[in-house]
Amino acid sequence: MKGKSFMSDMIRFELEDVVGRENVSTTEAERATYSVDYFWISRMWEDRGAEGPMADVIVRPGSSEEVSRILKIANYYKLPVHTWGGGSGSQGGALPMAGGILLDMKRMNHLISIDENAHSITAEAGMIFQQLEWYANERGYSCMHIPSCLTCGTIGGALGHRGVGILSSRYGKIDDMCMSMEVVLPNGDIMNTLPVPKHAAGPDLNQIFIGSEGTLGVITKATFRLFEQPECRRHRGFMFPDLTAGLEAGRDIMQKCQPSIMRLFDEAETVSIIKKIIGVEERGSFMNLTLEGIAKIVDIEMEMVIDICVRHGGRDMGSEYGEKWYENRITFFYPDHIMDIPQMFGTMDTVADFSHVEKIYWAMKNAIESNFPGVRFIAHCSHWYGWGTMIYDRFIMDDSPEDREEALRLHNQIWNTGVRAAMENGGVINDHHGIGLKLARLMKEQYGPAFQVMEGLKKALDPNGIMNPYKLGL
Amino acid sequence: MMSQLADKHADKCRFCWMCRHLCPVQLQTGKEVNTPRAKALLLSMVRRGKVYDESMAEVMYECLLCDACTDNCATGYQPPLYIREARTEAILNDLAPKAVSEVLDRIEQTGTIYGTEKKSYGKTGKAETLVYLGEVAAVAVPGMAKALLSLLDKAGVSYTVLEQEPASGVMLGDLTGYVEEVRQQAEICAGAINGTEAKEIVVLDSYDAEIMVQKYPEWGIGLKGTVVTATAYIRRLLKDGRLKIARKAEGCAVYHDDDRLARTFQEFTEARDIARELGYELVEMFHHERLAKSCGTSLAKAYMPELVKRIAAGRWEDMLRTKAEIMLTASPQAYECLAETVPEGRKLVDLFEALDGGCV
Amino acid sequence: MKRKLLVLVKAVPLEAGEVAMNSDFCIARDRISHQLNLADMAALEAAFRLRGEGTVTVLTMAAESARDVLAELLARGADRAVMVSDSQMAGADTYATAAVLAAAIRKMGFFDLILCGRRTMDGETGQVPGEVAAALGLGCITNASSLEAESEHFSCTRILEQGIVRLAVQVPAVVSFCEYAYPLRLPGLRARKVSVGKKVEILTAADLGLEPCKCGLSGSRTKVMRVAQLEKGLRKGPKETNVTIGAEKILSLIREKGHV
Repeated sequence: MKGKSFMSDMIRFELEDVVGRENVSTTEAERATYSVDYFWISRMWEDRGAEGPMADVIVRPGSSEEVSRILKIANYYKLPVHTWGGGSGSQGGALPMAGGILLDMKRMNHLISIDENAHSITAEAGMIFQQLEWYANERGYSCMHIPSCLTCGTIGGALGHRGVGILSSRYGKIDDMCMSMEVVLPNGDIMNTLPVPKHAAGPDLNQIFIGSEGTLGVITKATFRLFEQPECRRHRGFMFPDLTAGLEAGRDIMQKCQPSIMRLFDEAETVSIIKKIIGVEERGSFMNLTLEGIAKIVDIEMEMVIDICVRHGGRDMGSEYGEKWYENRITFFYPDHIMDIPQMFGTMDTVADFSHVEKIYWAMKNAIESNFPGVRFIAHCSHWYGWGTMIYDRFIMDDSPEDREEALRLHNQIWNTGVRAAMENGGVINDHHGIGLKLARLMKEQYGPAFQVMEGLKKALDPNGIMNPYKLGL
Repeated sequence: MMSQLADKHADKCRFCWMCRHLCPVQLQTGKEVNTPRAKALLLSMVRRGKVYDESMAEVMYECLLCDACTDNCATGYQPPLYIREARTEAILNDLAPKAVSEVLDRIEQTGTIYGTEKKSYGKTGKAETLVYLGEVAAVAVPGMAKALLSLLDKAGVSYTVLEQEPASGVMLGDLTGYVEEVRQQAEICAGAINGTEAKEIVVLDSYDAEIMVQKYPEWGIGLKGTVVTATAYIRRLLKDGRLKIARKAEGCAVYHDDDRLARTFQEFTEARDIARELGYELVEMFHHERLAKSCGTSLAKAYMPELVKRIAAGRWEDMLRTKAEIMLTASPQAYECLAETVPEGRKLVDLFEALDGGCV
Repeated sequence: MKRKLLVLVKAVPLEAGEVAMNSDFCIARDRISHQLNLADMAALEAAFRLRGEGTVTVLTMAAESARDVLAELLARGADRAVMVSDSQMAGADTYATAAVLAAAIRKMGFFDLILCGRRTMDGETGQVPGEVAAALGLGCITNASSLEAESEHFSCTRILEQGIVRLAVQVPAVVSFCEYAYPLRLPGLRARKVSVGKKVEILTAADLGLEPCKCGLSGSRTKVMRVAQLEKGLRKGPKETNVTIGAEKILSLIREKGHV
């Protein structure tokens, strides 16, 4: 579309005809804004004064019908379409790598309905998730999807990359919370998944589009479960002698109780992060845990949790540390509290069952630390399942190479090394940040022959390959 | 050329997404450029060699300077700091939108954003109490100005207003950033205020009050009297029994916290106390007090009326989700913005006018 | 009166808490943001007020990264900005700094008054004003809170621990100012437009005819042996970003504790 002929203006006019002139933009300011998301490489690129990936035209749809018409135009002209919600993803999933159209969904930010009988809430997918939570709160409910990016990302973004909130161990991930969705398919058809997510009418279509990262269509509306606010929320801190003991305790807790938050920090992170913000100065493996719901049940659960933790050598540190963590849970993500350029860093969250998780942790830590001197590796397990947990493992390098190609290469080498160590030991490439551009090259290694299922879906739904090219390995 | 302080704040905000959900402009337009991080990102690009162009300047003006982002920041970074400096750059390099330049011309020619000089209100001279009305009340919301003065008359307060009230500098400061010309305007205003020898300066518009309380001292400009917000002052008159309510008002109402009372002064109870004493049944919008969503400012309305209309409508939507039929405000700027989009069956009520109607 | 006024200034780190240092204990100037030293603001404003038909020149010795801070002073109304900048000068102590400044002043010619801040926020020594005066053979008045022109001379108020002194000043002289003595004017739209053509002038050691052994670390009489940094405390109190309200809250806390 970068042609100097008037064709680009002709297409622009067609787009304006759909969404109105004020909702189409080609200004330098707008295009530059979408050239950086939360992905480290895009940030580093900007920091080094280089131009990032630029879309040719920004389009802001106001309804599913408008999205449909835009996709029809894009398919006719074979223009790439990159769907952008909050742009707060860490995997480069929203970056307009192929130019063409960038679809900013945030104008579609309206509440559609709250059904107090069915305990559900429906809204347009461009709404920032915090808004949805506020609408739920206004009526005394919660969606219980409280990620650190609650205020940053949109509903569509959370669904698109299969996100997770801090309360997930009790309430589930976004794919457990979503009941149904409206999706605009690449050919412009507006479809709905079935009204409820549990049925025997074939595979659940929700699970095809959740995590599709804009490669199979555009999520335009979604219905979520509403939860009652818990009668009480109680926090507790424990210090284990090491990560092994903490993992064993976590596994046992998940068989008997339902903590909403359970975060187990490795010894390195216990020292660095926890000391810095919460003020705990001891060594070991720190766990903070939250139980919530009906007070009577929580009391019993807390007794059981303390019992399990003590049995695995954990020292009960009382409620104060857990409360402090909870109070500071968002502070961690503001500037000066979180890693930033000039540091190089990344979160290789991997997920595995209890039989593999510790082995993966050590394999990743060794692979990173032995291959890349000067790179620190810290980790915690923050989302637990009955069968396993995820490792939120981060690498941090205090000074990244000044040369941007060199920085990019080193960054990708670290990622390949860490993620391959996880996959080789029975881990999955990612737990909840998604694949985006960052991990796309590793998807075939992860899936093997199974990847043809996804490729088949892509070919069937998006034969022209216009939807978010290069992402998800599709 | 921005200050290194502004550059630092911009560099810290450029990769931070945390406060966008509170931006009243972004919530209406859905535009990524209307988030604080986008503005910071663009300025950091300029710092790294990108050309500062008209499209960027326009982005810098699509902001109400409502401080919701600043108030949210756990670290203490302030987007309005670099947005104001970016406005200075825009003006200096003739990049500001045409509508902005027109408002600037109006300020230069008439002293107000409206292009009309301020009307005169009542007594001038020396007195212990000075009422500073501000240009919005004086020109666009005269009902509020008159009601406030009438209340003071009823309470038997001996007060003065300024003859040809000089601008406080707040409008110019928000339009051009804090440049020496703004400080000079502030100096003239402070000179006029100090000339009345007033011990108390009752300021109707919280935007004026903010610049007097926060910026004047920083710029080495001293006010001899103490600045009191009009809501706090009237609340005191009521409490001291100098104002007596004879006719109660009726109805269920919400009170809209304006940007400055909400975040600069964190004054929440005074206006609500007045409303309750007057007889209103008060309920709250979900976003109130420090989290109150801006409904627009008079300055923004002067150069982007259509957008401010949508922003004000956004505030009415918040109100419509409550059971209230009345929206109360004690801010002339909020009144001016909200008045245009009153939904059917709902009422916008100026708290001072309502109180004046109820007092003998 | 066409007075020639010189103001010595320094760009200091924006925030004391995060000063990056190199292994030789020199501040890593290129990795931090700068601001104008607080007390220098008072000196500069005093100069503006005394300028009349004359000129105000600002002079600093600094790394290249401080250029913006100097450029901003042109926008605030300085007629000329000169920066002595040379990698040989890194790590200078107060003595070496004063020697360089004095050499630059000699090269630039006569000034009626040399004004400066009484100390810098990053160094806190307060030695440079006296050392510059000594190097130039001038008198020096420190800790001034005001400086006004009289018909024959200048009159200066100086703050001492026990009180204040009023002095008559004979020019040329060096006067160092207390912080907040004069609030510095802001960069103005008009002043910015006037300053557009002006550039910060750069002088090197060679321009000043200084030998490398007289500059920077090698020209210094003192040596930093060790630096310790205070660890940031925990943020225990409630968050407050509003300065006025924050100050009130701190005051009430102090009152609660019975300190006031």
